Amino acid sequence: MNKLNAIPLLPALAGVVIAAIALAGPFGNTGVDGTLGAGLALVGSVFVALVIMLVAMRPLARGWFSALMTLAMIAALLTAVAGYFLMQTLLLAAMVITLLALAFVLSRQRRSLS
Amino acid sequence: MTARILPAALAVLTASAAHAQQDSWTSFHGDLASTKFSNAGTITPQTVADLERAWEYHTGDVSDGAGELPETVWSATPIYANGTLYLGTPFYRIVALDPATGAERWTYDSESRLEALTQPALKNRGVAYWQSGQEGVCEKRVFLGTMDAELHAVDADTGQRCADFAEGGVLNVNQWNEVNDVFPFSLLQPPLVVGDVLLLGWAGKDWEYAVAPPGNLLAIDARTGELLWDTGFIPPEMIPQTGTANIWTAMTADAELGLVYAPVSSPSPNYWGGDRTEPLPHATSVTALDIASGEIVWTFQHVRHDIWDYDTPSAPTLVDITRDGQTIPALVQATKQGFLFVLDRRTGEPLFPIEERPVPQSTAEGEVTAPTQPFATIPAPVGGALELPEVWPLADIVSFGQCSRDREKYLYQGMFTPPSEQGTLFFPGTAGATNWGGVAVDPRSGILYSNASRIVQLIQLIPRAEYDALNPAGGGNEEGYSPQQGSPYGIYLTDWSNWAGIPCWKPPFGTFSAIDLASGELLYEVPFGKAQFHGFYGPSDWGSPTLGGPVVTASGVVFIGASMDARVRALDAATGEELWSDLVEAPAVSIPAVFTHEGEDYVVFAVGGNSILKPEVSDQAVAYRLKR
Repeated sequence: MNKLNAIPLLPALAGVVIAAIALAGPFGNTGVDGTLGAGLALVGSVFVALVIMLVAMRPLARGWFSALMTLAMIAALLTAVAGYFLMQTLLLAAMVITLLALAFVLSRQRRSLS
Repeated sequence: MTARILPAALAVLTASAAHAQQDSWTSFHGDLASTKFSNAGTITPQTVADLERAWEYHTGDVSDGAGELPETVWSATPIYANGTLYLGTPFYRIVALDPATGAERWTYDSESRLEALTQPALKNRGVAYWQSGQEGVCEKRVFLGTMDAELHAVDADTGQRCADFAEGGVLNVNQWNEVNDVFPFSLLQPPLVVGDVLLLGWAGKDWEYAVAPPGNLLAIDARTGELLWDTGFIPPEMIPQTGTANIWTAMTADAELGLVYAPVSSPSPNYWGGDRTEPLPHATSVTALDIASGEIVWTFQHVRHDIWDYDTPSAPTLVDITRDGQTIPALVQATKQGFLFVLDRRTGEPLFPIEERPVPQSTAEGEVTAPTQPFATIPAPVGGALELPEVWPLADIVSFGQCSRDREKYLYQGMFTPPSEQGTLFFPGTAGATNWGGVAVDPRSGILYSNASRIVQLIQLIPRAEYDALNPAGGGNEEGYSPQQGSPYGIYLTDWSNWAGIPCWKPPFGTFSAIDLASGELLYEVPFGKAQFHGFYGPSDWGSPTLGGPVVTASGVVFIGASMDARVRALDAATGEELWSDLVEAPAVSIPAVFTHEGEDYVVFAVGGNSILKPEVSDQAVAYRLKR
């Protein structure tokens, strides 16, 4: 596993857990439990985590790497927007951190290749 | 009308008014005047952020309709009296709680049939409290109505039935349902207690039948269950052709004047009146009756020949207005149309100009619409009810112009556009700009506070043969198909939205307003609450539709649930600005009880939900107080 590439995985996995709690509401009403919106946020956060895992676990060609990282950033951004409109502040925070971490990794990678 | 009043009952009326305490919350609207004003003074705009949950309690009486039981709709105002908090539940039980801890003191089960006999859901709006002023068993009572027309009386200290009330503590109110009895008198709203008299209306389903039980107000002896009088609101000659014009919501009384103010609903069927074209002067009105005799003293009809289900939805609020140095005893009747009619409560005369304006005429078979309707010019209607909201560009773009095409396709010629076969846009919709929550008034300042919904609906009249061929699976009173059996039309009613379920009209979807009743001036109107679609919250300036009402305190704070985002809120009464909120389990479609218990101020919400707002139900009661 590429440790640098795995940095965004932690907040992304936190996002998955937070989104799952928002959807299922195991600790009480979240205001969005059982809703389509919370379901989409969970799908988004899972997608982000899977992409980051893929990037971290397998060496990829530069083009693939950039494409997947960009895809993960778009998904994280959309999930953050969903978190905002679902009033799930923790999910929003997790996705913003993921987004920043992805941007950091991408910039480091580009710098090392240049 | 039958009249058998006991003279002694009246003597108590004046006495009980003199003992009214706004530190308590002994009735649905807190007091007989329905001001929804509380003297609770410690929770101020500065301290409200320190509110915390004192306790929460789950009644267990909840159903989402997925199982054998119908869905529940719980809009009960908790009652604080006798040092105890009383809740009525949608399973028709009474729960008595310790106000400080939420600990259960006793429960009572009416063992009512849990069937949706007259409503699409099991509904309850709480209990009523009576005390005789003497000591002893059943000298303090809690009354609970059921959907199957029983009124139960139990001892407020023990929860045991009061044997001297009717038949062993249970009054069969349906014994007086003798005409057009296609459904039972459902007692979903608790009676109004004035002295030793219980004033009782009932609910039915006026969307189902053209001919239905004629609406009436029953006065019952609180001690014995004896019928004192029974006043009807449909002229006898019209009873074979129509019905309802009943009182399904709370009432108000002025014990000094000896008057009860009855918010009378629309006649049946809701959306076609071809069989009831003769005048029905008490239908869709606020009507004052003499509490002693049941005699009608005055009537103010605010919709002529109602074919919009514009029931008078809430108890009028009593307030004294000072004008030219004179104090005028007034009442304010909030309506589904959004109008606030301010009347002299002695005579029913308007205190602000009301214009009779020509309104669109119906082309439906047999229909004869009223040529004019009353428009209250001052105060301005809440929620901007006079103007149909513009098409919402967001919904229109998402639906590739569906909303704009609908706007062209369907009929709308202003408020009171009649239902049509073509389809009529209906604003305010049947849930109304205001509903059972009514308004709150600070009697010291004469400032009125009101939440209002802005929901546009689409209504279509469906010719009988076509409707029968459709054979729809039924609906409810607020949405879906309704047969209006006995009329030439069934109807279809729905919110006006695009294929994605997004409302076609521009927000805000709900507002909160303050109005100076002395001048009629609008002090502010701001979006209130947050709308929610598929879990996503709209921005604050979209607001939310609301059900339930506000309470204003002496310290300048408004408490209100009501919004679809399942928040309970505190607002600054001076500005409408949100000061505090808390997430609860479902929309709190009730009126909170605000009271002082053992020196501490409490705010208690019953959190029940209502599918008009969103499909979420709960059995949660939650109490707040300042941190100790």
